[in-house]
Amino acid sequence: MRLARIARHVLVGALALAAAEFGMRAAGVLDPTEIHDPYLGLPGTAPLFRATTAEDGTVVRRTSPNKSKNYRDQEFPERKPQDEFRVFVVGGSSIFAERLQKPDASITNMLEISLRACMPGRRPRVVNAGGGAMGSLQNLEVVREIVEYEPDLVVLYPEGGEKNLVPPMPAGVLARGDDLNPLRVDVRRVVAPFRVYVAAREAFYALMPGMGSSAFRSPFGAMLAYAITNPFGEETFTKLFEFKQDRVPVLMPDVIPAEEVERANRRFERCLREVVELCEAHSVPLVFVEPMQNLESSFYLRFHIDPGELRPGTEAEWRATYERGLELKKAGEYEAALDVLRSVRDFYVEDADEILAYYIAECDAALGRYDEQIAELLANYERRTLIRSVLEVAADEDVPLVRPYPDLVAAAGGRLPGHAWFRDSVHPLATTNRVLVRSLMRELTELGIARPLEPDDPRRVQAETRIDALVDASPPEKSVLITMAMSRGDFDEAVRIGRSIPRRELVASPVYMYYFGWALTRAGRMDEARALYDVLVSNSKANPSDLLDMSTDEALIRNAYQGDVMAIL
Amino acid sequence: MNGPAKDEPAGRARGLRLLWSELVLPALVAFGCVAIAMALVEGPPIGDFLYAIF
Repeated sequence: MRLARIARHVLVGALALAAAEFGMRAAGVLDPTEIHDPYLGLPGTAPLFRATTAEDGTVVRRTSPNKSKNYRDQEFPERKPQDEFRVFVVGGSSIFAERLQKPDASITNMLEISLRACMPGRRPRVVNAGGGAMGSLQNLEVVREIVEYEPDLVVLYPEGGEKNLVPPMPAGVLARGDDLNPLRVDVRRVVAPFRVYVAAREAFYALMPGMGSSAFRSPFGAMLAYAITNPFGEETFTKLFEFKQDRVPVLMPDVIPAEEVERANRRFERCLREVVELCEAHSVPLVFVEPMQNLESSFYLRFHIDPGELRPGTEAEWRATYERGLELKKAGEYEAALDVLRSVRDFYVEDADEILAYYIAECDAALGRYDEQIAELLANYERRTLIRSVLEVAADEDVPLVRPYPDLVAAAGGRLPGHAWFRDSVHPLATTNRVLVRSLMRELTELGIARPLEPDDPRRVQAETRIDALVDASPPEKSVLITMAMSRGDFDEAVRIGRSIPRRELVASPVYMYYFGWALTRAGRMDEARALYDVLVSNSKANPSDLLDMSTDEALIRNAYQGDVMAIL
Repeated sequence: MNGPAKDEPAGRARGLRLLWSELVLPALVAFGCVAIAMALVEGPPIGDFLYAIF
């Protein structure tokens, strides 16, 4: 009798939940693909591509509305046509290529154009599954989803979004919780699609203001906000760009606890291996691409040394040697500077000083030793754990790996592919995408996926002409041109470029104003720089109470650069 | 003649009690279970969650 009563109550409760669920679905409220994504793309998130009906009545998959800020609006048929060759390129913001949409000079569009030439009788479709700020966990969730969409090839470009998976970043807090309690991942996958669950979650976040916030400020944004909320001065526009210029790195304890770094590195490798397993289980060919960065930029290089990295009792001598090397470098005595700076490495238990390698490479370049400059910077970059993981997993699991740097160096005429090839420290320009796609196509040809074409084959010529037109129509932004002029020491040219930016465009872009202010300051035009600062201040929405402390070098590394997270992983 | 009128409030109370115990309460418990499951799955300490509710 009692059991029957309990069973009746359970049934009534279940029916009530079912009624609420159906009611909300019928009313079209609390759709997990439309409301904000509290899981930031991690397990439990709504699908990246949701099923919807196209205008012609067919069922298609289209980017979910709540992902459309970070991912491109993509659409493809739910059922793959017989002749379609379906490729998904998964990655971060370099694949997303937000600024390269009109015209579409993304890696995915160029790859599709190239494949069309090499696949007669097939219709290649390359879907852009690259998301801004996305790391390995999000990429894995995307792969878990897309293997169900009949892919013929998956290309993975694992880039810098991993920094967002380290606490205190919101996704990092969530990821750590999932690592410590994997059961909740499984439960979330099951319950998160239900709207009654969404209702409970939304009620919770409404009751707990501040929870689930995904507020994030890039180092650039943080420093810009800091600069314009302080009085104008010599450093207003220069600190950001010159923070790591010929200066001894800060001696301070690592900001990110070692266990968090290890956890993030283990997770990254685990995710890569899971991607491989998923593709193998679905018999989908997989290709890794080694992600690229602007090696001429020091912006994201590690700029602190943990005292434990120095051999005991050598701090004073380390600093004096470092300073002497930099003085020689600034004086143009590059050979002597090289000798002294290389000797700084002897002070480390194990040398992992990124900015030192950068200074040494600058000396090499000044002496015309470009091969040594490139080797130094590439070794510096490939020493990073995440890059090593990509190379190791590719080797272990026998995954084809595309390493675009040699092609990029060749395209740059044997010189360092630096500021002229990237729109900032990380993101490739259209011209760089073209090189990467050529490297990728060569790999696909070797794998027998694309048919080899002679250089003068009309289909190849036609494809290359189309890609060249895309590159020509996607010139570098003015901020890139200013950076290039500044790195040459041509301040007047940098000012001229800044002045060529239409006033309306300049005033609407804090980034442009900041770059232009840097040029004006170094050209000694302080009155104009101050006027620019005044415009920035009057346009600013920065709330002083939200500002992070950046009053010292240590605080700047801790707060703006999140403990040099980009370089530590 | 007065019988049914006299029993009416008692019948209504019994009906409400039945409605509460057989329908509303099980439904509330079911929604409560969803909320608690959410708190456990989402990660914030259960104490914070209960504090927010009460």
